Amino acid sequence: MKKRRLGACVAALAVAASAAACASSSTSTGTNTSTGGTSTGAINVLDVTATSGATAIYGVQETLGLQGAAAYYNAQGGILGRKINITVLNDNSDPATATSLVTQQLTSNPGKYTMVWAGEEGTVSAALIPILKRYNVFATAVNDGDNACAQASACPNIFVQSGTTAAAEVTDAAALKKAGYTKIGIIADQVTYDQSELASMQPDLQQDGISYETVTFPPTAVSLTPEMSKLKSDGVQAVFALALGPAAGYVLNARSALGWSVPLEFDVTGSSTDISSLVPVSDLNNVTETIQYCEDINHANPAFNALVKDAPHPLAGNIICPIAGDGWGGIVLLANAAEKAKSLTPSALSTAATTLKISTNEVSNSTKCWTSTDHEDVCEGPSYYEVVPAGKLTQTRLYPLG
Amino acid sequence: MAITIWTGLVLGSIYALVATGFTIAMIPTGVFNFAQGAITVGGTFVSYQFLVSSKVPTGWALVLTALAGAVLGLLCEVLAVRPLRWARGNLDNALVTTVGASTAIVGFIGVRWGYLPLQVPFPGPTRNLTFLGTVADPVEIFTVAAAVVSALALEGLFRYTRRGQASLAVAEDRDPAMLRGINVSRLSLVAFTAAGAFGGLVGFLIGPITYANASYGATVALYGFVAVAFGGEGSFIGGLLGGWVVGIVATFATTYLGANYSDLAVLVLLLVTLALRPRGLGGAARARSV
Repeated sequence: MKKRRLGACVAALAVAASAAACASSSTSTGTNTSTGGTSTGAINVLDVTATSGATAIYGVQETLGLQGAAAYYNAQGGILGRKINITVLNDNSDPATATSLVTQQLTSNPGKYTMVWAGEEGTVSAALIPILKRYNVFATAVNDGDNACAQASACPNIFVQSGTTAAAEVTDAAALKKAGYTKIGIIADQVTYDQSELASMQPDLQQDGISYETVTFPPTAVSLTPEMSKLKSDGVQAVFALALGPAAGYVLNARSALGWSVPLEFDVTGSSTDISSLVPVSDLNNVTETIQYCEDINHANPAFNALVKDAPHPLAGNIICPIAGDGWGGIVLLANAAEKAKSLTPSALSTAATTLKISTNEVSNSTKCWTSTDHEDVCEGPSYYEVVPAGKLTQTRLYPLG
Repeated sequence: MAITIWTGLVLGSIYALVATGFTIAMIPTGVFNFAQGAITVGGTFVSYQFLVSSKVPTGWALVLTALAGAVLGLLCEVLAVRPLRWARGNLDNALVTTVGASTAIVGFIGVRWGYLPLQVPFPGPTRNLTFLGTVADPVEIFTVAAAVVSALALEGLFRYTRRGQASLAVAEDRDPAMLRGINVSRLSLVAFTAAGAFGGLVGFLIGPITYANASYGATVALYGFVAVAFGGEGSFIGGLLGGWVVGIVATFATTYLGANYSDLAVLVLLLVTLALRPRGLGGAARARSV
């Protein structure tokens, strides 16, 4: 009898683990669900993100930003007197899972969600755009995959936190031109954001009179020596790397293995990782990286301090200001649009969003704005990015939590 | 060309080592433990913890990492596999529950260490070697050697030792094996624990190559599975060859065709191989009564 009871408990645990295997964890992290005062109920925000899988590095940070901003605004009475409640959906870094989960949520909870955070990375966001259009839900995300929302008609109720991927590439190309290079190699990760960056980069290089050789690698690669060897044999003067996470380390390891001291410049996704932690210091000679506005300590950023103070602390690792800052910016957008519209309907929020120019409480960039024809952040420009020597991120906004 | 071959061999050896872990658990139980990839990645984080954070001597770090892997393997068997046998009498849904175990392990890793990659040191020589037109990091040489040695050793263990043959007997037909006095329940526990310990050791070895990277678990599990499919179920040598084929094909496709073709090339080759030889490169032919 005891064995059967124990077996039932263990079986229940196994079933719970099996439920987790569907990669559809839905947790209400409810920063506050109280409805005191004149509020008529919580403002529900659906956070479609990756807390597991290849892009969890982004999803976890963005959720941190959303939850921090919700706590910040709730401490001041919420939005229009109503508290913000965040529900987290884990898409396991898979667009198909994301679309399935979102469709389920929006179908079974009509009218519940005031805003949707539409995915942790461009591939997922691009997959969700048609769903969000169909259900007419006010939404935001970091980026839209391939500049889809630059045409407002394609994203009528969706407003993207980042500007066109071209902005950072203008800065990068200018840095390469300033250094005097006429032939460079590009090594690019095969993820949507890096590929869209690459597409933006190539015209800038041509305009600056810089020829280039391009090699690509899949996210499953753990050694990039063959790719870097190809660029070396092509005789390039410098290498521009579009690399996410550990891939930045693989590029540096390959350069070292080949005994090649070619100047190496990392794109803005490279700086989402502290590159200096991936290789010995001696491998960082002649290496630069592209950092974003908030990573420069010369820019005063009180909102980042608020994010650090108000974000929950369940995780190991740092708060990465451009990524967490975009999640934070999602709630800032909602708050400002609601305040302008004095309403929480999707159409009112969307109309209000096109009239906003937000320059307070922003973390990832100093100013964000959208127009009636362009639902990407049109205030973001090349000046928001800088190319700096690699390994200096400990002096910027990476904030150690534990 | 030589660099591409060597890179493919190293990548393939990583997949082969994961495939070996799959096979250790699969032979006596018939269960494909999808969590083996997550256990391997867990090994990279545990070795980082001991070597970097806790500054434990290398020998002890190795032992403790293997122990951590063993515990994870044991937990997988007890929580994700055994209850199915009790509740249903068969293990048809074990793949689903072990996927759940994999997700749980990666989730724990993310909470404990985060999702940023961590550099795992290699406690051995670090000076690159140049030979036959390629350049090799010593840890890469160790990885390829470990893949070969472990496949050969385990193939010998299962074929020529009493316990190994008991495992093969259970794999052949469980009920007669039980009637012959083989404790299949304990064998399942031992198999999963051993596979977990092996996974931990693999993590200790490959961490300096892959970094401790939480998102890598699904990748190695998937490609390790493909290596098993190529090589044939239940064959350690087949898993080794399968891993090498996957690694080399993927690397050549990336280098000469582009990253878009890496997965496609592996998939096409897998389909063609299984169409022509369904039991895989090293799988044994099965007799059946007609």
